[in-house]
Amino acid sequence: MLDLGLEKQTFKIQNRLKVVHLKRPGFLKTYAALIFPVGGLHRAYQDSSIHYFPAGAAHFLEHKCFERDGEEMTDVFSRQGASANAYTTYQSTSYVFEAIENLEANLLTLCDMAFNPQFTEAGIEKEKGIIVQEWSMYQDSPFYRQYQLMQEVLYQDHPYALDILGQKESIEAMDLNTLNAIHEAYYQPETATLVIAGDLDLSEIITALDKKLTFPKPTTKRPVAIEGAFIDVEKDLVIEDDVQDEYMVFGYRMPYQTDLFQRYHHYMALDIALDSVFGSSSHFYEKALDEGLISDNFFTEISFYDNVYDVTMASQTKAPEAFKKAIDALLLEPAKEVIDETLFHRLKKAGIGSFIFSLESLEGMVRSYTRYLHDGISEEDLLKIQNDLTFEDVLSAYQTFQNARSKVTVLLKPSKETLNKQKNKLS
Amino acid sequence: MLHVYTEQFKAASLTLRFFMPLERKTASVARVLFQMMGTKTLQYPSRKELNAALEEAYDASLNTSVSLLYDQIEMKIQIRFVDPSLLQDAAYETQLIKIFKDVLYHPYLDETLLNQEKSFILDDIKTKESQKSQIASSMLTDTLLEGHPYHIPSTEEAPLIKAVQLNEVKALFEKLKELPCLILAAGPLPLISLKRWLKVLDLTGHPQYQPHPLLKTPIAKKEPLNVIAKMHQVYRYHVYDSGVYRDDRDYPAFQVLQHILGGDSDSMLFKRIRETHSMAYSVQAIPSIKYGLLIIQGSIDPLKTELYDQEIASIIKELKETHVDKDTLFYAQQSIQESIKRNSDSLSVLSRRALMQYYFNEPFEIDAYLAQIRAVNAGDIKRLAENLKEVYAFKYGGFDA
Repeated sequence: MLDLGLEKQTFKIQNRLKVVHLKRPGFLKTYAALIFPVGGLHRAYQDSSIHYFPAGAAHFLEHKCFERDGEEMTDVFSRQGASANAYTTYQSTSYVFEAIENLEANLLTLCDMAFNPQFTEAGIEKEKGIIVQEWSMYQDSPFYRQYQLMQEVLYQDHPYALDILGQKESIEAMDLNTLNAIHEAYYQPETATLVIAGDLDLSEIITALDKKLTFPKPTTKRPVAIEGAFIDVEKDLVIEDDVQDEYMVFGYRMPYQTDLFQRYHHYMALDIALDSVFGSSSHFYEKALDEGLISDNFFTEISFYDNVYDVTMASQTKAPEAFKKAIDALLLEPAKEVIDETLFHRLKKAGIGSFIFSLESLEGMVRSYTRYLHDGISEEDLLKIQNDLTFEDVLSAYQTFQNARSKVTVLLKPSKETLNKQKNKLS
Repeated sequence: MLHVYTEQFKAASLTLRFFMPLERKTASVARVLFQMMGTKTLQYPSRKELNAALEEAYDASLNTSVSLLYDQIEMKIQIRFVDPSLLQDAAYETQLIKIFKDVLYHPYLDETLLNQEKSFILDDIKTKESQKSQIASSMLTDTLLEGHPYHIPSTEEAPLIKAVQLNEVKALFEKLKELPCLILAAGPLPLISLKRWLKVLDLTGHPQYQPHPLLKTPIAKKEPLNVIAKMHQVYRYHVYDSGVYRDDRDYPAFQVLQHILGGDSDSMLFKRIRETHSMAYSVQAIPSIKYGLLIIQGSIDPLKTELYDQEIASIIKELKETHVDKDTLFYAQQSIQESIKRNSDSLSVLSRRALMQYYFNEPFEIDAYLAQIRAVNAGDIKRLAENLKEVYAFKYGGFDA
């Protein structure tokens, strides 16, 4: 393993909130992220019984934590010389800022706005309008709709079938009591993590935070594990839209490993396997480009959250049927025939390079570090797992993908109206 | 040669920029040539082999692109790689130089690859034409900048790419050997190492690119245009002639004006359009200092377009008629200064600063510019706002699918 001189320190504030300091010498600014374990996949909290809440609640909550008494908290950060933002994924919500000065004040603001928000009926009503505008913006993208349809069919009754923002109806259904209850259940310091990256000495700031921060009282409300049934499905769908070419998306849902270590081990092995078979130095990629089946925007991607485990492949195509046949035929070939050991070693080396590139910015570093934080796994752990992988692990992971339980393809093609417009343009 | 040496980062890059006068046909030939150059070489005669060599070099990446720098076509080729001193691999740097030299001097230029790469560029154009935001933005610039000497209409792109011939690509490649060039090395690449790269690459035949005075052509007022499309939202643009160009003395004050109007969540647009009236999720003011313009862009609720236009008119009127208050000005100045300081933690920003220093004589060290931002007063903001003249309004979308 390389010695990249990366240091990590951990602290605890009031014995409740875990703080991780990623030391990165030479950087002027500090980047901080406060992460809560609630995202688009979470749909319920529990006290004496289980209470379900509308889709998109975690994202709505993220928007509302940024407002207090009609004041945007981003303005407060701005006045303290910082730039703040937030984002919600399927698994978590992160509040972030970057600043050179006033670190203590900015960290206090970050924690206070997230742990002690003040929601109002009027603020929630106003936010519905803004989030519906955000939702509408995505709906205007045919590629977004294609991807969303693939996810809906592949996951059906699972929360992953829906977008992180929820639907228009679920956004409209949000209310004060629901937001307060979700906040109480999911925004407890014991389950949150504060990650701070930069070249600084944190000890004094930690002491100050320990004295000055007010956390919510412990509660009987608790998070509920992500639920949702998986129904095996095999479907080929075609949708028409105002697009100028044909675009194919393949989705493969796979069984997930229940053991945490096995799950990450499998994920890292599959990542290498997919790069070997479909990556830019693969035989398939070169051949499919030469035969015109794919364009150079072809990509594969693994979605990996809790019990969600799937592979997406997508490309613009001139020959969707032949593209599909080529993928189907390739997936029938024995793993050993399509993955060679030289490639495996080369991709492990490339993995080290891409890890080093991820250290080029504090944002990238924190994002990599926190991506799997909900499982207590860091980017460095992933690198170690990758280092220990054997060729057999990669072959075995690829075989799981070959035997994926659910397969959905969605072809996006120009509507008749668009084709007529194209013809008129030509004539 | 520009050398931004810093040990702060763990990756370095070497970029060569070649320049020739802007001409539409040549720009398309350049785009095809540079797309082909990053694909196959004499030493690596397939994509597979070239990509494998890059993976073997710890995921080094090759990037080529063609863009317009005012009256010039700027053709860029870059290699980005892990700091060689981190790896206990003596052959690593030699391998990188070998790859880059081969890409630069021995690209594979044949008819099959030409047709393939042309097809990928055309695919890319079709993908852009399939996205409403891209269509709106292309229609805006094509109608706004029609006839401008620094603009190539997007409608010409596909026919020009289709028409590119192999002999034109080969001729441009030959010409490349004597074109003005600018070398930029950035990151943990010490001079001794850089000299080794340059010795092997042998770029001595290229004169260094010399910047020259640029045209400042005001955009003439145009009739508003409304294009109806099936969409959930409307892309609305209000375009103002600001009279401020990149190398103008008023540029720092213009940056403060843009920030107060629509820079971040503290801005007038964000507060009034998004937070007070919930008309839009995204609304901002974008400076276009190449053309002396300020553009207000919002993706808005179709049912609120009239109200939106009234609100924009009211915000601009307010800026023209009243002095911004002390706090607003102070926080805008602070926000810009802090953002400039924070950006120093990015190698791409440092590289850009070195380029801007070379092209436009802007200071690489930020202190002088921060002082100029601090010196802006409310009178400057009002004066620049008074100069804003709306020259165009464009709307795309609005018919709910």
